[in-house]
Formats: sequence, structure tokens, C-alpha cells
Amino acid sequence: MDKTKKFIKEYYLQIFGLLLISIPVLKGNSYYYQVATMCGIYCLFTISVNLVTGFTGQLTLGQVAFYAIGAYSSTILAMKFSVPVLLAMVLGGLIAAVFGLLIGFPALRLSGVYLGIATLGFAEIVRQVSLIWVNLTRGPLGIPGIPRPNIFGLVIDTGFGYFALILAILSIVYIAVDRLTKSKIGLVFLTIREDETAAESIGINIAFYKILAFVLSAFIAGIAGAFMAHFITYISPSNFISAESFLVLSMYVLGGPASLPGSIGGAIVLTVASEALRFLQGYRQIFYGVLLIAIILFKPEGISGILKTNKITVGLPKNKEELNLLLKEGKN
Amino acid sequence: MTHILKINNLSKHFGGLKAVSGISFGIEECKISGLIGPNGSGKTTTLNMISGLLTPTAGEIYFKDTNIVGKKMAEINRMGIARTFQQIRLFPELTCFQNVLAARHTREGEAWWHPIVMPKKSEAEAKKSRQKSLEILDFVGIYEHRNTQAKNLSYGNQRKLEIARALATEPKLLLLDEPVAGMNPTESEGIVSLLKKLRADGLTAILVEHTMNVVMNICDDIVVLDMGQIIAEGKPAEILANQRVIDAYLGKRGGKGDA
Ligand SMILES: Nc1ncnc2c1ncn2[C@@H]1O[C@H](COP(=O)(O)OP(=O)(O)OP(=O)(O)O)[C@@H](O)[C@H]1O
Ligand SMILES: [Mg+2]
Repeated sequence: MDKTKKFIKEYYLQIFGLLLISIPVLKGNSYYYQVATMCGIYCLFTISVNLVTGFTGQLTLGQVAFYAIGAYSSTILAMKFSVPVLLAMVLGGLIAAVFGLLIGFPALRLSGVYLGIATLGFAEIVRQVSLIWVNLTRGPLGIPGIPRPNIFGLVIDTGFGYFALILAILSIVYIAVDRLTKSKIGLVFLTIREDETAAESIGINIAFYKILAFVLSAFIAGIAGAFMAHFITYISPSNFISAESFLVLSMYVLGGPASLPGSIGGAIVLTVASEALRFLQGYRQIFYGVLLIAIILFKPEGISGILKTNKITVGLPKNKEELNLLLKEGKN
Repeated sequence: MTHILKINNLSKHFGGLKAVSGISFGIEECKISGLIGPNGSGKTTTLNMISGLLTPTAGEIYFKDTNIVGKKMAEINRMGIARTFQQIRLFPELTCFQNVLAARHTREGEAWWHPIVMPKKSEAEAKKSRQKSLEILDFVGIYEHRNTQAKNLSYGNQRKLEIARALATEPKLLLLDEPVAGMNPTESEGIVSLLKKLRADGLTAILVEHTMNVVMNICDDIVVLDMGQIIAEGKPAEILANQRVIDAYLGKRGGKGDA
């Protein structure tokens, strides 16, 4: 009995994750797969916000810009240049990352709300371009018939196929970001968020790390957008309105800053909730707003606070023995 | 008599205000040099220029024969100058351990992507850093608070943590801006013995401080600033006996002589 308790305590996140994954598989119906796949896309999207806002403290209100760039780039590469879809998705991420770099430099001069407004403006520019550049994007008509992913001749067109693919992509991204943020880099990101001057005083090149966070974040958002395009197989500028940025921001806030399990939780809860609350139609926005305010007021650490996976765990040893030694008799 | 730091005709003007005007002095290795003077005499401004937080209006700062004027604070730190702040600047949400570890990490030669693609190797490096961080926390005497968030530390321990964090970058020169300001006698005593321990280990430091008995107790040499200019230099005993210093502290400013 004690052993099972210990096991559960240690692996509760993994167990919970498996349970979540098993729901659509057991149900096996395409609607469940579809919602689960959207959850996966929003997990990526939310992680991208967390990386730049949760870790380095750079407020982004325009994350949808990179999502859109990833989606359009991948779509256009696959359709106009017949690039294989999976490769096109990666390239879509890379192109978004290049824009992240371009935005990262001016972002160095801004912080807080000003940076937020600037990113919001950038997202609006991207959307306007997607509306106006009709030759490339077909403007408001959107692009239908986007090809589906194809792995060595195996076309992915079933609910299960998409679900498995997003799970694979999410796992890779999650592990990479987890390794990165639990390493010294995560700690360096947090110092920048806490006090830039103090971070500089211990030799941290804050410009480099801020831009790094922006670029990686844009890459991940780009991949999420690209996947969405090849999943829904139709994109138009209305997919990329600012409400989308605010939705992922809500997911991020619900999950809690600087916590990856939190971001996953936030993304899943709100994706499922917005499905479940479809009957509320436009009033859903009110629900998000109220939720956001409630979290900020009552539980600023969000889900991460409940899971105890917040920033205080960054940089701690993975080795259990060493960890226990470090935490032993330490006042907290 | 090797000067690790040489300051040449250094000035900083804020608009019309000459916070520091044309000061020159040298800092010897393995000594703690005091930088004292009345409020607003330009001590913090001088430290800010040395550490790269402020760019001088004029003058040069040679650190080991390299002019560091115009270099960024992070670069200057990596060259070997660390500092603490008059207004404590910690990473408040992070634990003591994390505060120090972050500083240690900047001394690892790894590229940012190493932790992703070679986690084992990176972890080995990180382990060394963690070990070292704990040693430093132990050295400054806040080991037991290692898992406490910096914002929850007592004032005295926050000062110690700031010193620990600076030490973690293994500085050749440490700049301390009023490390005992606002402390009770016990806390202040703790810092003094810490500084003595560091001096025994061969630390080179510039200590800005108002508390006279601390300065006299710790410093090998003293530079006295008043209204942005050096009015005296010498051993503690000489400074105590210097009439211009006494006048400056008693408020009889600019009374006589060539300021
Ligand atoms: N960023 C700034 N902008 C404008 N004036 C400044 C600035 N920093 C310092 N000063 C002014 O420069 C002068 C020197 O300030 P400084 O902080 O160097 O003094 P200090 O010797 O450290 O004093 P204290 O003992 O009070 O810390 C003061 O008159 C101060 O008001
Ligand atoms: Mg000062």
C-alpha cells in the first residue's frame, strides 16, 4: 500500500498524462480525437508563450503572429513548392523563428506593457498582410485543400493518425524545452525576468537570452500553426485574430508561469472547456475573462501551484538522492 | 605594488550635476580599499562606472591594463569584476541556492543547446556548479537558508546572499556598496567577519561604507571623496587625522585649499 502511494506521488503527472491520452484512444471516435489533437496543438502554443513570458518575463500579446506565419509558410511551401508536409512544417517553424529574431531585436528596447502592445501590433500587421497579399494567401477567401501529412508514403488522414503525430511532436518539443528550462538556461531566463540589472551584474548577456527565448518561442508557435493548417486543411485570416493570442495567454496564465506541466494542463483544460461551452457561443469570451481575473487574484501560480512544479524547482538536481540532500532540513 | 585597477581622470556628469569630476586612483591587488565620503559624494556613481552600469562622461578605467570604459556590465563581470548594490538587487522569487547557482552557471563554457542534445554531459557540469554553489552558501553562512526564497530572507542574510552571488562569479575584484548599511550590530558583525575571511583568502575589493569603525577595521587603504572629487588618500590612521576629511564630514565644505 505504501509502495503504491509512493509510486503515485512520484509519477502522478505521468499517470495523469497517460489517462488523458487514453481517453480518446478508448473512445476511439473521431470527435474525441479531434478535440485531443487540438489540445496537443494548444499545448505547443501555450509552451511557446510560457517560454517567452513565463521564463524571461517578456509579455507577448501577439503570439498568434508566429502561429500564422508557421501556418501560411508551411501551407504555401507544401502547395506551391510541393515540399513534403512534415518538412514544410519544420520549415514553417523556422520561418516563424526568423520573424521571432526580427521581433526580438526591437523587443530588447521595450518591456512590460509596451512590449505587449508592440507584439499585439505585430500580430495585427501579420493578419493584415495575410488579408492583402492575395496572390500568396488568397486573402479573406483563405486556402482550402491543404495537403495532409505524409510519412514515407503513409498519408495521415485519420483521427488517430493526427493524434499520434501531434503526440509525437509535442513529446519531442516538451522534452527539449524541459531539458532546456531545467538546465542553467532556464535559471538564466528566470534571472532576466526577476531583475535584468542584477542578471547583467553576474555576467549574463541578457540580450542574447531574451532573443533566444523569442526565437525558440516563435519556432514552437510556428510548428503549432503549421500542424493546425495541415490538420484542419483550411486556413484563412480569421484563424489568426488577436482573440487567439488571448486564448493561449489565458491557457498560459491558468497553467502558471515557468511550469511546463502547468502549460499542458492549462491548454487541455481550456481547449476542452471551450468545446464543452460551445453552447455559450460568444459568451465564452466572458468565461475566459472571468477565469483569467480569478486566477490572477486568487491563484497566481495557476495549475503549477497545485502541481508544485513552479519556478522554484528550476535548476535543482534530477538525481533524487542529491535532491533530497539539497532539500533536507532546508528552511522553506 | 601592482595595480589591478587604475582610474584615470574619471568623470560623470548628470546634466549640469558633476557627480564625479576627474578622479584618479589605483587599487592594489589583495587589498581591501575603502571608498568613503559624505552622502552624494559620488561613491556609488564611481562603482557604477567601474562595473559598467554607467558610462563615464570622461576618463579611463584600466582593469588589468585593459580600458573597460564602454564595455557592457556583463562583459566586465566576465573579465573579473563583480559587485553588490546599495539597494539590494536579488532574484526575489528564486531560492538562495538558485540565486548563487545562476551566477555559477555563467562560468560554464556550455552552449545553450548542450542541455537539450547532450543532457548527460551537461548534467555533469551542472552538478559541479551545484556543489560549488552550496560551498559558497556555506562560506558566507546562509547554507541553512538555501531553499528559502530570497525575498523571504532577513535583511542581513539578503546582503550575505548578494555577496555570495557576486563571489560565485569568482571575481578578481569585488565592489561592495555599503554592505552593512541598515543592519543591526550583530548582522553587521557577521558581514565584517565575512569580509575578513575573504581578505585572508586574498580578495581584492573596493568597499564603500559609511560606518567608520567597519571601514577602519577592514580597509588597507582609503580614498575619500567629497562632491565628486578626491580629497584624501592613505592608510586608515592617516585618513582619521586628515583635517580636510574631518571638515568634509562635519560639513565645512570647500573652505580652503585647492579642491
Ligand atoms: N542616475 C542619476 N541621475 C541623476 N543624478 C544622479 C544619478 N545618480 C546619482 N546622481 C547624483 O549624483 C550625486 C552622487 O550620487 P552617488 O549616488 O554617487 O552618491 P554616494 O556617494 O553613493 O551617496 P550615498 O552615500 O548617499 O550613497 C548625487 O548628487 C546624486 O543625486
Ligand atoms: Mg551610494
